[in-house]
Amino acid sequence: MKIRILFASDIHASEITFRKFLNAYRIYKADYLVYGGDLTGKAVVPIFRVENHRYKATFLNQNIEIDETNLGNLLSKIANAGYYGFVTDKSEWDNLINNPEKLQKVLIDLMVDRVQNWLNLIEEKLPEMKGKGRIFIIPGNDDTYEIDKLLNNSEFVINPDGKVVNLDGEHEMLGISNANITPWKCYRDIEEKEIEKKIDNLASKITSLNKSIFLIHVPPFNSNIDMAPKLDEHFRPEVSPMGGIVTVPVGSISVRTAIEKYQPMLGLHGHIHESRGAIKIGKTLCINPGSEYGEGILRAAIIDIKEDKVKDYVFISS
Amino acid sequence: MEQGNQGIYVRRSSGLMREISGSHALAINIMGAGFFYAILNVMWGAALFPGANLAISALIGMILNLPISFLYFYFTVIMPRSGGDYIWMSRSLHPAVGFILNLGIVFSNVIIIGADVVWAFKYALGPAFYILGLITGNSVYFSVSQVFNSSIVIALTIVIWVIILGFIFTRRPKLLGRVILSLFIFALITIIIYIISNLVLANTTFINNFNKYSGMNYNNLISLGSSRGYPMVTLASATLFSTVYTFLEYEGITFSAYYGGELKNVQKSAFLSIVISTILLGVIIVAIYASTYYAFGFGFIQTIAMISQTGDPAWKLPFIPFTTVLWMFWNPVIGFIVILGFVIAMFAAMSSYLFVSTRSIFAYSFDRILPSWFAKVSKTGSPYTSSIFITILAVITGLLYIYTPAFEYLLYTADLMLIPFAVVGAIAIFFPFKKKEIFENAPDFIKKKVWKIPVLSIIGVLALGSSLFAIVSSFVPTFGGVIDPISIVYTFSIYIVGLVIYIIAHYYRKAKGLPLEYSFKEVPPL
Repeated sequence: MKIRILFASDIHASEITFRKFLNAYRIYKADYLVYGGDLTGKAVVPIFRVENHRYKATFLNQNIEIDETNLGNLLSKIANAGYYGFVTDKSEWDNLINNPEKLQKVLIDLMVDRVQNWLNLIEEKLPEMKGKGRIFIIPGNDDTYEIDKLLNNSEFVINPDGKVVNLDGEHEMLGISNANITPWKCYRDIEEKEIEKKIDNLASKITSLNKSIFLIHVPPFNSNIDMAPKLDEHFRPEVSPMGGIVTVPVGSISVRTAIEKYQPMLGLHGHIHESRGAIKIGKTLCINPGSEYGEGILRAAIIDIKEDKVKDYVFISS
Repeated sequence: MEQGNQGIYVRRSSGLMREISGSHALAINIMGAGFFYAILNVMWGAALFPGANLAISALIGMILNLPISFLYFYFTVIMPRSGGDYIWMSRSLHPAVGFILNLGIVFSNVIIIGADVVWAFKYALGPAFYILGLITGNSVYFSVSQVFNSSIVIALTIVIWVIILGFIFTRRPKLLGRVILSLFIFALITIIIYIISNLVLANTTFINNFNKYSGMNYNNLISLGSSRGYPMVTLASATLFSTVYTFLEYEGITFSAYYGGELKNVQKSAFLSIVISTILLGVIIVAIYASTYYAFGFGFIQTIAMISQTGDPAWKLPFIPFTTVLWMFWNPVIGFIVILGFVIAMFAAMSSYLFVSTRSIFAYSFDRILPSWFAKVSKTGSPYTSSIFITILAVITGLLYIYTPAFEYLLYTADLMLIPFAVVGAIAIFFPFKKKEIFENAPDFIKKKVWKIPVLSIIGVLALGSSLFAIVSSFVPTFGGVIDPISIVYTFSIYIVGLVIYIIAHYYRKAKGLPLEYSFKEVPPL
């Protein structure tokens, strides 16, 4: 039987992009909705209360001053860009800035709230999905572990991180949220050896590897879907003598080795937003749909599979 | 994982990298439109529209083009994607419309490749050496002149230059930007030399040498023209009619729309390369025309344009006397510098045409109209397979142009670029209302309104008007000359080809399971 997967990744808290992702599930008549990690955003935008029920903020390099009636609109714009609007006052914010642990707690609370809201949205908009095992969401290396509890408790969503799950009785999928160590030392960055162990452990539980899917946040090393700017010690992109940005492969060597060794039918990856594409490694088709969440653009891939073959796939952008 | 910080580096996810700067884009666009074509148009235009003052006409042409430039600037900012108006039309109307009309642009860009080398050799280098032969009496120069008329030399040059371009296209886009910027600077310097020389040097040397070596007499030619009724002064009606001609001199100035997905700092680069470029190009073209009339005399230009292009025995030289060539009589050093600039400009124009064509091919493939092979991107961010394809296609069309009459009937290729302008203009009128979500997410300046009407809609109306003026004019005998039905059918057959390709892609994708239209669907937020 042919099944259709809608796959996206790295939405990073962009409200509008996530809503498009859910809608795309219906529009493209997908059987399964699969998400490849990095649900949460990275920044809090303080919105300061000032006198006369007015608010001030700096967002996308613009100084904004609004009245109360426009507060919802501003919060919505901030959420659509993948940030967290935080209504505060100057003294509270100064206090948080001077107390990084407290600020981190605020950020995590906002992250958890957003993910919970999204799970509620799924319940509200896709009620028929309850208990069906059709929506798979793994976290990514940027995601705090606090969100796992929410995903694991949902009756609508399956979190396949560190597990092998069965899609339709014929196709199995393993999930890994981790990435190899990045310059930013994110929540789920781990050493290559650990990634290797995790994959080996999960792959050993799969019945038919040739019909399996590897849902691994980080793409395989040197696969063309893992090309990112080479950074200097100040995290600035290096420029070549010809003036171009130097790009280098930054994927996981362990993931590459595992794909070459186990040859699953399909590899679903994210992590490197700029490296949208698809590549064959042996018999395995590896896909990175890319991400442009900051613009509110959904980047995704629709993949039709049948038995041990990827029948067709298409990248979508909206 | 997100690399870098906002403002330092932005890369979109087609695989193509945003590394074309505003100055590179400006050079690509201006060389694509090509200010040196004005040198050719002085003569051609005088024969087509006797009495037209092309300096005034080019100024009107610039004003008429500005709405189109603003239109393409706005859309490049709203949807900065490879393929430009292909993307805008396919997302706003129908994928087939976007594909077919944009394929027409690719077609018109690729088939002109042969013509550029022919013009560089037959209208510039060949005649330049011929005049050197006349002046020096050295027969070697006549032999060299013949070399530039040789089909095999022209064909070889096309093949070599296209292959060099193909190689450059498969490297980083920045390399092409640098190459064209260098060519642009050289061409700009030479045209400034031409304009200044026209204005400051007394033309007595030219007249003396022309009388001495050409076998003709400057004053006698003017008298001949006058006796035959050729206009010796500007005619308002001819000037007005000729705007359809000078209007076309700006085609190419919107090229950065087609590589919008690779522009660094889209707003700034698109504004510089499309809007500012239009004005800059206009200033240069107007200066070329005005200084040419000033230096050589309006009546003289009118006369030699007519007699040299009608086979009149009064014209003794074996070529059309484009003014770069006439400078060889005046001062061979300045003449050669300007001719080199002309040749460089022709070669740079080829680079621009082919470069933007590679991006359209990439975009079709990315949307699955063409096989995915055409959308392969190298690790350096170059769409190398579409570049290889366009290189091969350009070699073939270049050779067909030289050795066959295949392109003799393509008189209406300019319309292949004008029609998308009109369609995008029409789209712009309704865009703020029909594509609210995209419009509302655009930068604030795009969302501005005048009397509650979106500025984008107003620009759309003006651009649609301008484009329709040019399209309709090309089919009106008063403006566009005798209508040639064979040429019309021949030129627009590319749309039939596009339709056939689209239908094949549609049914092939449907049969495979994922319909072609999936690539174009808009997904609103739930």
